Amino acid sequence: MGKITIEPLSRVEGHGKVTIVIDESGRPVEVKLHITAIRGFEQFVVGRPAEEVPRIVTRICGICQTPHHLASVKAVDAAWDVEITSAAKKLRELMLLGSIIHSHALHFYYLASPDFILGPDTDPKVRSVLGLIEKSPEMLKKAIALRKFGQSIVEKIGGRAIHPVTAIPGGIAKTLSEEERDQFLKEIDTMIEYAKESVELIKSINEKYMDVVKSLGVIDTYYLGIVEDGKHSFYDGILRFLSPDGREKVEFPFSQYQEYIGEHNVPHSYVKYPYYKKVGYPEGIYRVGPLAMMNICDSIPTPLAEEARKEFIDIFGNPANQSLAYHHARLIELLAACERTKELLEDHEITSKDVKVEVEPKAGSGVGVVEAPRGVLIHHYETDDRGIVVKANMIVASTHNIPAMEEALKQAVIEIFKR
Amino acid sequence: MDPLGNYKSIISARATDKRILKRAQDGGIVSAVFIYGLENNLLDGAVVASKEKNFKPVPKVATTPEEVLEAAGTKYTVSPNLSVLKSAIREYSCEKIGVVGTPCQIISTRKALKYPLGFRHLVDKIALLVGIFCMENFPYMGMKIIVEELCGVRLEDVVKMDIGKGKFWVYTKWGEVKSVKLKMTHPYEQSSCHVCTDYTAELADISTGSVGSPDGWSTVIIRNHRGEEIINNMIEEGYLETRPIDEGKFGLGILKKLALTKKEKNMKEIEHRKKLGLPVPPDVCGLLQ
Amino acid sequence: MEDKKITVAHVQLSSCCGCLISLADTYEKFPDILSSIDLVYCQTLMDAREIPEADVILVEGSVCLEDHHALEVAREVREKGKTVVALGACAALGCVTRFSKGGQMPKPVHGSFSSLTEIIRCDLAIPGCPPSPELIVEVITAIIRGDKEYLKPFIRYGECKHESCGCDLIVNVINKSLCMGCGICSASCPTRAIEMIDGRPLISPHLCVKCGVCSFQCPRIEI
Repeated sequence: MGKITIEPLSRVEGHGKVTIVIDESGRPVEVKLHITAIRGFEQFVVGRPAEEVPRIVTRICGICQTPHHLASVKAVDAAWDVEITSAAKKLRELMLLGSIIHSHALHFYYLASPDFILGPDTDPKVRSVLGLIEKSPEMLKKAIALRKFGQSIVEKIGGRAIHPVTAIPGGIAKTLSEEERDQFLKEIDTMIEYAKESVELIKSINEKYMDVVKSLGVIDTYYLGIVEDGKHSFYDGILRFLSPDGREKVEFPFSQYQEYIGEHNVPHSYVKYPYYKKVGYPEGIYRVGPLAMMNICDSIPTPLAEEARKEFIDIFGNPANQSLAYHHARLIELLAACERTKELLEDHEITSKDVKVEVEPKAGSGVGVVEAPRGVLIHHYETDDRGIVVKANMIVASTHNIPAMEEALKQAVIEIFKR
Repeated sequence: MDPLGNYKSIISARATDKRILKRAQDGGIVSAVFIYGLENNLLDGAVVASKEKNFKPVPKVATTPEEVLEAAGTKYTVSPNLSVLKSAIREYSCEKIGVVGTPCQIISTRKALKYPLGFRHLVDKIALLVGIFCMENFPYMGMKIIVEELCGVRLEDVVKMDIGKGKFWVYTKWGEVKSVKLKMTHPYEQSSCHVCTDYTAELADISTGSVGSPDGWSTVIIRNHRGEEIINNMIEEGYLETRPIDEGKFGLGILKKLALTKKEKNMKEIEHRKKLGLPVPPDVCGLLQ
Repeated sequence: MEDKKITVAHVQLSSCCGCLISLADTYEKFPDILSSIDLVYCQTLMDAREIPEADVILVEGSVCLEDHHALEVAREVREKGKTVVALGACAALGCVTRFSKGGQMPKPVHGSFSSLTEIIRCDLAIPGCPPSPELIVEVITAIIRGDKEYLKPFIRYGECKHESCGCDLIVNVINKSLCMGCGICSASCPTRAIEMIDGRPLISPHLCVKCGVCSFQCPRIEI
């Protein structure tokens, strides 16, 4: 009988640990994922004017601050019944895509790839981005270029790369000039190339490690994501749940999320465990993020990414339930984000000056949802008649995945111990 | 220690472009430098003090010669030029920025370049710092009282203000000229100016002002190679005409006298505040890299 | 003979990780920066699990007093680091975590966040939310070179055991007849909480995240 503790969890954003309890025969009987960080943003935005919350909630996360900024402002727009202009919507979407490109490149190349490129048995001291500087400098250069491109888009439209400021209720406080748009257009084809190469890279990595991908962390869950007309969407649309066997699809608008998503408290963790209400806990645990998106969408609206998604389904099935397939899915999303970025840059409305409408603060309740790099991000605010926030609920992307992560860990631990 | 700070050379100069001279305070040096920079791709933006109705100053990022010209002319009141510094890099996407400012604003910019804590991606984008001579500034309402009550002119009728020959001058759009002795304006000075010991913007690349040169000309202090390069090019290409600075009483003499006077007067005020246990501005010589 | 590289550890407490991302936003220079030091611990980038002894330990994030693990890490960092740097406003001054007051499920008691400087002795502290990539590099370079002159302001911030706020500009600058309206505070504010009205900063308390940058950049405040 014993306990294994893996602490702290590394190469993630945040704090966590894993504890594994083993019985006398050496079998794992309990696997727990502890997330050990809380700062209480939901509480301290209460009492603030709602239009100022989007600039504060970015500090929830230093990597995906832009999705927080946008989900927050969408919640305020919804609470105050504001219709933004088409140009403002496109600029906000472009800002989101910039952050998806930076974050997916960071996540895969800086954090995850060392295990695959350098090998899982390499000395941990070099099995990190430091090792890549030596072993794969060319690959790292492309990853840096992707990150720089993504951050530059956020900087130009959001005002700052880290913790943007320009999304306001009613639209956006900044427009994109033609020179800025032209500069990005000059670089976008190279970025699409790099994203394509990333997909090729993960395909070759998967071939090498396919037995691991198809055996560790393989669990069945529901899947949740945003679709627009059934297609993969980062910025807007409706939410769709997919059943573990892939047969049932349930769709609902953002505003009704509380009818479908419940939150369960567990004593060993600082986060609530969300689950699909119609099925209950724990059968209703679900996954969000790139893997889920590959499953729930009917297709990806951009051609190269859609081709890559079809290949993905051929390899992993539909729905794909392998946790390690997230990396492949993530890089397909990177490609989709780059392609969609080009579409928006070529859209003449992207340089429009018509990006703001009048806003009247009032009592209301609004839900804002976007696809953050790690999945569905929900901000829900209630305001009083002065436009002051009286209640706030935020479900960050990773939170949806925590129960599933724990299950996947359990499955992986049991598999490993079997061998 | 030279009361004018470190410099390579001092000259008298004025712009050759009549459009600039029509709107300039004196020799039109700041406008000429920025227009030269924009037209020759040395600058793609300039942080200047433009103005609205009633001489209300508005900091602005000028990206065309027309916008620079529009901002020409001294505003004898506080203009927080640096508040648009970040806009210049973000919204305006400038990569080669010129900044004009009073000595305190030049000091602030140098500090931000040495310690860019709140200024991501700024450091390599400041191309030129132009300082203007400054004895003291006035808050807007202070300037309003000087013009409207002491000089009896409505602000909306003013086309130009000037300080010189011991007086505060106001020029109206009807062609009138009113003035009041500088002594009378002292009560309206910004008191935070009284602890500043920098008259000629000692940390700039180029410093300029009317003192030390004849009417219609400006004194130009060239402090380092950046300032030297641009001024020399401008002279060569005919953007500026120059004459040697008068080394005598009415040229360099009065310039050094005023610079020294500011230092002595304000050092006294600094000591006075220290005695009261109040904070005083820190030493800034470490800011020149 | 090659100079031995300084050993650097990066530790995260209650932070959003934005300070590390800011350093990573040196883009092409990032691999060079990583190669110029011996990074011995960085939970976000590599799999080291035990904080080793190190010449420099950069700590971002504030300390949650109800989280005994965080307090232990703070103590450990002081023991194992020769030079402890509170990186970013959360560690240096508390920043936005000053507003945290608990009441959030599932840990409603976790509501007391203090800056690292209030909990352990910090050799250096860097405000900013986040501090710019260029500045973080300047500080690391100055530490490697032993440039105490450049580091003076950060040594002073390391010694201060309190918060910072836009209102400090009112008390320390405007009220002391020092504000001359240059506007640098307004330009430096990360949330655009400062507007210049009639030549003086107007601070919006709803937008101020207490990052300390405005006071730092003000030329009239000693650094």
